[in-house]
Amino acid sequence: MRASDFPTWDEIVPGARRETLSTVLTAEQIRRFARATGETDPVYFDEAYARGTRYGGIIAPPGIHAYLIFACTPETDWMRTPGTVNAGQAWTYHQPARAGDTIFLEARALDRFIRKQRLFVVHDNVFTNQRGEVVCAGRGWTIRPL
Amino acid sequence: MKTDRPHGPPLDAYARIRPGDALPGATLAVTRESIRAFGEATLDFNALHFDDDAAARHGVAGAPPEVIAHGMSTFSLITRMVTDWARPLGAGHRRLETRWRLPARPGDTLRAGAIVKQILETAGGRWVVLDVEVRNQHDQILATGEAMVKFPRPETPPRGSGNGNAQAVRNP
Repeated sequence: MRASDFPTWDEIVPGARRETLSTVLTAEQIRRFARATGETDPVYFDEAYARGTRYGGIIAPPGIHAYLIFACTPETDWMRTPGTVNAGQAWTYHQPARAGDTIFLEARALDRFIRKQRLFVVHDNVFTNQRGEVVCAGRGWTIRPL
Repeated sequence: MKTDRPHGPPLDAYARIRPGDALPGATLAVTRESIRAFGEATLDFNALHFDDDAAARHGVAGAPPEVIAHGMSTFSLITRMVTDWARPLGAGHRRLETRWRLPARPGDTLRAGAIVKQILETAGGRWVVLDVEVRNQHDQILATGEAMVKFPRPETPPRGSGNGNAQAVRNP
């Protein structure tokens, strides 16, 4: 996909919902993310161990929303515009995502501004599970290609 | 026989935490392979992380023309540090806010650190606020931020030990 396939900064409407998808979070996907981030806690890897913890099964590390935000958005989402730069993030964690959870995302652009000759868009995201419970919620500040 | 500490025996891990305390840090070695693995694990295939030419086109003027690491991999290094500290204490990592100052590059060794900034008890929990930062091997700051960790409130009000524990009795 090329930059012209995505909405530009001018076309992004703060407040407008983004199209989202649901995804089933598998134990294998959790393991892949945990390995790629240097995690060693067996609660992310070992089902038998995880069953004996207060979580009762494999959970994902908090930062799993880095994966979920791509798993739950279509290929044309402006998060994927070539040249997009991540400037900052703020996330709150309510409960861990678990292996086998079906994860849903509600997302929108929240704000759009110009600073130091650069174009910013703030995105706002809430991930929930199949019981409608909040897993985590957060915002990201992105710099858009001119 | 053990002697009591000045403020009585510690009630739990939370009671021993003070502003200025440092967490054990966490490290991450960044390579082209680790960047690729993070991209594949998160479906983040932004060319800045895979293609030297694309990174050179979009990168900061004067920066080396090579791929950079995902900001979220630095973010995840911080959540690993905070979670690995909090979980064995019965606490939970509940918030992280970060800003990126400089990108991480292949060959970098990142070190995350955190200092307790404040502690506050609310009706529902006992909170520790941490200042966090990530530096590279040149001691440059790559990311700064703030994290929050929640400790559960005690199940039963702690009993006063008669040696300076009045605060815990008055405000269980």
